[in-house]
Amino acid sequence: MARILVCDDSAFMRMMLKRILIENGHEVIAEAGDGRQAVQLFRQFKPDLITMDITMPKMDGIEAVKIIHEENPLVRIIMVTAIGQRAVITEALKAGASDFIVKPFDASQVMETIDKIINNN
Amino acid sequence: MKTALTIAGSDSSGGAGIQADLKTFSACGVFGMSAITAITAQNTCGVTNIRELDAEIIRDQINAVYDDITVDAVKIGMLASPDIIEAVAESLQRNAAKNIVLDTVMISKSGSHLLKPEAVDVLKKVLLPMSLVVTPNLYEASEIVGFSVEDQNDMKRAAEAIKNMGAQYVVVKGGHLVGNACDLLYDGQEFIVFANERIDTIHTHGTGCTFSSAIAAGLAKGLSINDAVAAAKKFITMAITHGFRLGQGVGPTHHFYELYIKAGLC
Repeated sequence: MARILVCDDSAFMRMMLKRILIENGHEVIAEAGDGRQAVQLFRQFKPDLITMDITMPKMDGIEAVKIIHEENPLVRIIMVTAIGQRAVITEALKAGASDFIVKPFDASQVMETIDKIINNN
Repeated sequence: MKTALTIAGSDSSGGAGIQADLKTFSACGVFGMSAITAITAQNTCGVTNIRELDAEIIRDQINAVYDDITVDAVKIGMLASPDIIEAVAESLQRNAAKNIVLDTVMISKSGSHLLKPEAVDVLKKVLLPMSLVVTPNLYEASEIVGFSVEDQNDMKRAAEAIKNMGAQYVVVKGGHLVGNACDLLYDGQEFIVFANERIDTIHTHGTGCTFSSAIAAGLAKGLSINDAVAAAKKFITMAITHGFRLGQGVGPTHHFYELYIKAGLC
């Protein structure tokens, strides 16, 4: 079981992810609605894993990944990207993200990616 | 046979909505399936009533199709409310839907609102990032990007802004431009203009639905995005050319012009 921080500016998308994660035995310890909040909650809750949207207000997902990765390179971050944002995935991986999921994703895709990352640890 | 699913509203007069989508799928050679989001009472003169279906039956229609049948492309039309958008997104997510064509239906030809203003934000946040292609007209593009879209330069700026919201491709439809009927496809790198001389007719009921469904049909058949849009543009141009008078108002396009011509019926 991993302690997970879910970051997305859409409450609906957070709910969808949260449901999949909880149903598969993980704990969602906090939810962030933008990159800045994600950084704050990462510092506060020290999650094992973070799911990170890219396009968000205040601070985007890539900027948040850079800050979080610099503070703790061991935290695993999965980018949750829009179908049209594949071009920025490379940038996110360079910034420190471990893997990515492309919307629309189903539960099995999410869990495969998370299991792969947890097992690699 | 390749398949396409339309998720949209029903048009009792048969020229737009689900009815236009299914006719387009058939005319373009793919098997059409449908999940109805709302029922509209309308004719060629206007919309007189709208009844939204509840989220559960919308989800169940989509899941029933996916649980049994391979869906090669999806066209999304009238969504009406934030609840319906979320129900549709949830089902598409559950089924990891591919080749989603999002026709951002907001207002009918006769001026009725088909999407509640508060739903536009949910559409942008939830459905747009999972769509392969988004097909707004000038009015819808303005509503999505928040600035006025009136000429080809505005269309390019709007396409870039919508692409940045997460869609993979954007087609801004210029049917309401002054002059030629030119549509703009943006793939994140270059703009491709699909231009045709304007056809002198008032019978354009259901053109938006027909065009986006024709794109979905092309994608279902495995065409590239450029080829799917080009084929759809050709199809809608011919369907408008053969549009006909029906009722007292704005008549429909002719989805089966090709068959009717071969049969000597038009």
